[in-house]
Amino acid sequence: MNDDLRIQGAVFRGRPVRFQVDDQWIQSYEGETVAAALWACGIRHLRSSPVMAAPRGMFCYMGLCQECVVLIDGKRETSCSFPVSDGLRVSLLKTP
Amino acid sequence: MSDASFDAVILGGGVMGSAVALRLAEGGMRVALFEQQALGAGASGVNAGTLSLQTKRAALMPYALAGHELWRRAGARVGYRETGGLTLAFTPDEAGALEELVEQRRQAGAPIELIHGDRARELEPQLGKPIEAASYCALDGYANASLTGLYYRGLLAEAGVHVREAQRVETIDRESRGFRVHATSEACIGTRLVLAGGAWLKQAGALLGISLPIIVRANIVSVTERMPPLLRGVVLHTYGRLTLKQKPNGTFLIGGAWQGEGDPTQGPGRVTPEGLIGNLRLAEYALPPLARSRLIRSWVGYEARAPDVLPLVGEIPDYPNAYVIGAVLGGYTIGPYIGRLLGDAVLGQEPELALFPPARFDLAPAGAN
Amino acid sequence: MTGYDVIVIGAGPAGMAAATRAAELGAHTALIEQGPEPGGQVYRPLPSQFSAGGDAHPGDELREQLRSSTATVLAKHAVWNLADGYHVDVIGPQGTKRLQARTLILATGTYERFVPVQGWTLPGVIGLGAATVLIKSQQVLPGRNVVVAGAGPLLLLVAAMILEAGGRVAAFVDLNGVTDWTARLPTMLSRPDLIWQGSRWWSRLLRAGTPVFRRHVITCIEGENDVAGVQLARVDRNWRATHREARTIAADTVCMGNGLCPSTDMTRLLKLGHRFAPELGGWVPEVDENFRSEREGLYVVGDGAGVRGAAAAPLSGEIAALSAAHALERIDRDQLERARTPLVQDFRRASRFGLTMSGLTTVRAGLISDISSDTVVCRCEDITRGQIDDAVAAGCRDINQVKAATRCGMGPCQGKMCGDAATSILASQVGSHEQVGQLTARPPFRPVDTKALTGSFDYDDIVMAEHAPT
Repeated sequence: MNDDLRIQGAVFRGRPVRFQVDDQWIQSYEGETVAAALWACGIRHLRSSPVMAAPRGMFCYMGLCQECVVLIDGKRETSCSFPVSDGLRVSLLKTP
Repeated sequence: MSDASFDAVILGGGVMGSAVALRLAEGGMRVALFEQQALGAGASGVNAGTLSLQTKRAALMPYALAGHELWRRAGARVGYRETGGLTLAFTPDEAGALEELVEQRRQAGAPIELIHGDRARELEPQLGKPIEAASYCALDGYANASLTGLYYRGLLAEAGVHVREAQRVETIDRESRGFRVHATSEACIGTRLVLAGGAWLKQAGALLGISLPIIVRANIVSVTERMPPLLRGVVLHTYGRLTLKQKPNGTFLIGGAWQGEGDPTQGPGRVTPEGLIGNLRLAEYALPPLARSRLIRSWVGYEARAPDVLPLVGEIPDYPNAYVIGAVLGGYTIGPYIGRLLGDAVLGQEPELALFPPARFDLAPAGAN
Repeated sequence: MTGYDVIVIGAGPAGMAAATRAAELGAHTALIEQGPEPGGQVYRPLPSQFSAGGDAHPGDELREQLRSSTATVLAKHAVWNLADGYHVDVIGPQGTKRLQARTLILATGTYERFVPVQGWTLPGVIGLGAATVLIKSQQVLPGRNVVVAGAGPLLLLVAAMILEAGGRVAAFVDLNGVTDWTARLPTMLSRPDLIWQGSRWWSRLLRAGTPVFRRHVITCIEGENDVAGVQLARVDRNWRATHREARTIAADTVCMGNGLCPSTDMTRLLKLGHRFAPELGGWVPEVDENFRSEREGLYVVGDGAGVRGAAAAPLSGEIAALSAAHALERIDRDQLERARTPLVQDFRRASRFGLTMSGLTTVRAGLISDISSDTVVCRCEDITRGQIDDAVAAGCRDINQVKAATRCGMGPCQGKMCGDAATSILASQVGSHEQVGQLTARPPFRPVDTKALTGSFDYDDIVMAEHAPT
């Protein structure tokens, strides 16, 4: 899934912003959360689980499950509650 | 129906009660152990798991060395790790105090050496500055206190000890055959009685009609989310106000007996912002990258102390065949060993190291004189 | 320390109504909300940077009433610790703060209940609640070809929303059968508006030709690093899988959920008495008809006191606010009773409907016994059902023993995702939820930045209390 999952036509989004995920630039809109912006462009594998190193991604979208935690400007944040802004640097927490 | 009888009944299923029970069973006694919650539910299971000789009183060092050895033998079953440990002094005053402490502890037999602050940072490059002086002990490490209950549950079952969890002892009556113990839904008679109730010792003593001089402390312990590797061993502070370690899973465990609030008879204690923040600040001062961590859980473990901060271990005066064990500063490390010592005494054998008889205190209940 | 007459925690419908009413009755009131704006999960507004075509949003009215009241709204403030008295420790944009109030009203809502299934940890599997927020608030589709599975009214809502937004529902997998729904029709008739809405959603599904699987369950979600498809089975009355569907249904996304459980971490930390009430969503704090707990000045309102739905929630908040205002001597008994009576009638009516709906999600035994031993239960710590079973075999009997032995519930979510499932697994072996108990609550309620607590400080600022003798 690499097409844009944003629903078209229902609302006007905020100003376009760009932020970086690892080495990739992501097009997003003000008002979106990092998790939703990543989801919309098909980036759903955000981290690896601690013991099995299994793929994980956003799950509850309510700031509870901690599955969407990524590094944002060097700090661990729940991406589902973190708003996008221009130039944000996001690192996924995937173990190779 | 008459109640079951045992050679010994033990109140309290923490490290010490369990260790006494195991020794008695080894010595051929039929043993019952009553635990009001679950094995290891008190301090034994919720302390920070530090196994350090650098946090022990010199007077208790021989016991600590022996206890440490028993945890080493328990090995992977309790998550034992021998990582080495550093005690840090951040100011000239602390450095002076540390030098004195190291000397006392060395004389008591602990293999601790005084080292330069720079050497400390070579050992643990992520430590903050300035480190005025430090001491190092290669034997220091930790175990996983969460596994205490599981560990002893297995050993006690193997040893044939009659373990009753979620059985709160409500009355103890002295009678000709020994002590009749009534718990939540069970009763039994023990020829001998051992009070090993940890922070609940005061209440246990009251059942027998004595006043044990127990001071309860509410120690805060905290854990962070998993972090990249930052620390190899245990980090401690001169004044004993910090224990810091990174577990193999990457989480940091932070302790140091900063005080929360609470009363053991009223359930779990409460973390206070002052205590927690003080503890976290000292941890962050020692290891600055902790500032980037997330705290996921803080709790309070109740610890018992006697007024002279020495253990209460031995026979209860005027109550033949009744014993107490507890109030051991560093009880997690020392517990397995001192429990065996008391077990020897209960079995009628001479313990290899001296006990700490409660007879040094007046145990008469207030107003009884 | 900042003092209030009333502090309300949680700005969902119950909390908004409680704060508004308490302020109207003259109480100096603060409403604390973790998110950027009041609304809660059910009335989560569009981000302020988005704009819609002028449509009124549900929840706007409650928000407007709150705005025009004198209640202080502390948004972006996370409560991380509570103590009797009542002390509320918060972290806000300006750092840590301790607030104090004579009355504390907890309106912390619910967590979604998840029954673990093979593959539920894959990226691309999200909660039903997550799907609603993604669509409503972020205007993002969960996927192009989505399986919607579980139980309860949220299933239908999510499926309809996906279709409305241009997605395809690959399968609608409902644990309940037609008779489970029709048996509830008499109560549902009390809300013709919602029946009308429900039937519109249904016809949407039918029009789209959505494959509907009643009395079915997902037995496995397939995929390597993302969802590829699901396997289904028919279930019996106990929700035990009986007959497996032969084919795998291809899908790119799964939205799953089994209803809601009251969020009790604050009431557990405050050591309130709780009872296990499956019809109310699980463990609920003991409260009286005014939503007052056994502790003076402490109230629990909304779905956090038992899942009764978004219509009942604000009514419970108002009833509690009235009772609190009376206790604070802002109104006399007559005023209390006059205002209370109609609210209680409305609350009862709304509750009947809400309870009927949440009854559809009450977990049945087969669903728990069918969790396979290699299924991950605790996502944070990668703990499987097999490891929980092993702990039981090693003698663990209550949930905190299992936690200590396995680490299940010890991770960053603190058991919010696995607590219900793990206790249900344990209860199915030990006998009852009462024997198994609840996970001990510990602060912080959610992970907090260590730096937010420590702030900026010098070594001399660290107050070292007395140290142990040497």
